[in-house]
Amino acid sequence: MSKTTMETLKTAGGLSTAGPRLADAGAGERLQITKLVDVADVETLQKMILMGALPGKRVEIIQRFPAFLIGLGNSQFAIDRELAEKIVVQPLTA
Amino acid sequence: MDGMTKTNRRKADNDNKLPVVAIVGNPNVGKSVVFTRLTGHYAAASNYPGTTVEVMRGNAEIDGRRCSVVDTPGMYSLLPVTEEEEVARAILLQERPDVVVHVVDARNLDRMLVMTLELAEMGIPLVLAVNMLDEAESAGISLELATLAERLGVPVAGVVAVTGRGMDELKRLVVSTLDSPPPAPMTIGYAPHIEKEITAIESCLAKSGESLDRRARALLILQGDDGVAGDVEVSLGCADGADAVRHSGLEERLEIATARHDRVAALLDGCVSHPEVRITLRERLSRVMTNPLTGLPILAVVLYYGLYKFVGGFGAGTVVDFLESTVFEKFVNPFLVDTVGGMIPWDILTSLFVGEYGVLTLGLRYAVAIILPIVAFFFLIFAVIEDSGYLPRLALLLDRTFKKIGLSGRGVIPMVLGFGCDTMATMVTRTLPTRRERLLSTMLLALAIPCSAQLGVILALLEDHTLGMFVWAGVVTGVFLLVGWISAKILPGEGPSFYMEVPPLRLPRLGNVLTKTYVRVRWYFLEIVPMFLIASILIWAGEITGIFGTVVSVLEGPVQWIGLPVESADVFLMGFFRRDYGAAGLYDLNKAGLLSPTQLVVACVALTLFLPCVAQLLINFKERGWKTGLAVSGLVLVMSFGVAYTLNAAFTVMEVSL
Repeated sequence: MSKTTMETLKTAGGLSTAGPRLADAGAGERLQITKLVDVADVETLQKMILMGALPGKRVEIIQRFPAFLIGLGNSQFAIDRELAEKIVVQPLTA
Repeated sequence: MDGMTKTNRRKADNDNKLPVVAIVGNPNVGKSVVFTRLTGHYAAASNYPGTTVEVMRGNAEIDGRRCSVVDTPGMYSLLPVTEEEEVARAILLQERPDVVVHVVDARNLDRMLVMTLELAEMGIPLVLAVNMLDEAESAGISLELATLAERLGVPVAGVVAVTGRGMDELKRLVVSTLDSPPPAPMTIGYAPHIEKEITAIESCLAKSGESLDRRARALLILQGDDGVAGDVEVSLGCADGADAVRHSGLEERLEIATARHDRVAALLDGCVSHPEVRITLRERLSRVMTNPLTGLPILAVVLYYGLYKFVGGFGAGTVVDFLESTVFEKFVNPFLVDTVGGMIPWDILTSLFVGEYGVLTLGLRYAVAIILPIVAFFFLIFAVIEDSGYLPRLALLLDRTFKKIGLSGRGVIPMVLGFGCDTMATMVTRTLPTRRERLLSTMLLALAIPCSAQLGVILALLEDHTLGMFVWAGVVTGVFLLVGWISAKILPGEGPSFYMEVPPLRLPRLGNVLTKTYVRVRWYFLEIVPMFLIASILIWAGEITGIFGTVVSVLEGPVQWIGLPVESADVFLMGFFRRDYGAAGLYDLNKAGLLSPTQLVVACVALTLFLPCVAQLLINFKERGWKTGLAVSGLVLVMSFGVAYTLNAAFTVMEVSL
């Protein structure tokens, strides 16, 4: 059972085809999360879920250095570059 | 679909027991305050069987009904990742409480209600307590709780637990839920392929003897839950179910979570209105703190005024001086010496109480006059810093640096607490996510983080030697970073990843700050006073029997080796009983004029790095096992004398005297 949870996550959007990552966006940008990639363990996935960093959600980048500070819903989270690399984003659609 | 299956509840043989009310919720939403409000007292905390996680339990009269209330550890989801979450889940699924109070933060309903849905899908009898209503209101958020309750099908109470507002309503809802039949599990419709998998697993599940509804169990299994897997392995005879389980795991978990988030968004639509997003003064201040250009100077200011001026200068200086030289030396000690001397005619016994190392004249004086004020002032400032929300911002600021020593920004909190009490901080390392991080932080705490008692005395000692203070701080910081960096290279395992919620800054409430300080100081005092008294007795016994003298003469070698006077061997021996005890001894030694400034700095470095006090040693063994505990102690012993030797040699070679 537990082995199956260790397989690399592929979201409904297909394999982890590249797209712009949260880690590449600039401070002050508001974006939409399209998918998560390279989430290979349940701990990382749980972090994403409890932050609400899920496909379809909006995210604001408040600060990039020395760690990322992001706004999700009413909350702010500090995350490191490694996590920010796993979040694929696109510009907000009007 | 059998989503309407009645959940098995308490068995008949339990019926004469008290109904159980469990409080669940994310960390830091005020569960403990709600617990205190419900029970009206601080109840006993006990370790959950087989774990080190503490669970609070207490009996209380809730709205005229006698209940047993249990406060569960913080959990984010019914799919546990941490030990705390496993315990919380075990309470929910195995103890089957009669009512579960889910405490959520009113400002973050969009995230927090996801677990409410999860609980409701399990058919758990729920009451939702929307806490911190006042903060949501002052942030301009308006909530239609009645509409929310109607849509959720769960009773909702808006509360401000810290002030008690809304608690009567919450109690009333708890009791009315107790009296209602158990709710049917909520059904959320997932995407067709997920539903297909759920049905496939359901059809394979054993039908009897389970407390959980089949759909609820199928959902857990589909998301790769290991905890309920045991009985599934047996019952999964059929191909369909096995097939579904083979595909189970992360992907399904993400899809299910996304569907629940969407459901919450729909539930909240029209129930919650947010004000225009604007950058408030509070937000500006927050950004100034997290920007390294302004944040690092702010950290320096916090350290300078908070630690150095307030704890070091005022606490360890002014207050200690007054208690030491006025209260104890002029009044308490002479009084004790006279009284005890008059009562006990035998010199040996008299010296046990009021001799040079007497239980009363030394043990009590150190505990009350030196250590207590320093620790109390530290915990006071720490509570202010903690309640203001500064720590997560500091964690963000220092994450990169801490990554270099194998920790993440999360490791900042035990390290800062270590400046108060390393023993307490070592217990707090439990909150770090990996074993590797817990080991690294335990070691660094033991080696290079001076506790407030030590720090206070050392800052007071070096007060007139600015250069010496820089040398001491530089050497200790250097050792901290170097040892951390090397250990992180050597220790196998992956580096940690960092994420942390950054709550809004808030003005600490005086009452909260005082309560926190009081609880911590009381813990410290109950732990420390016996230790001081025992140490005094041991030293007394050691003196009488000559063992103390022998150990001191053994220590005289290494002490002279690092260029210190013979007399300081006493200090190191006492430093083993309590690190701060040793620091206080150094204080006496310096007052007697036995140390040159250079020796003083070397002694301060050695004593800062020296073996942790007995209490911390025991905690290291308890939390990390005896092998690790022993290894940490060995390393610390070698490092403290090694570094002090090198420092002294460097001073000698360069012919520097401070």
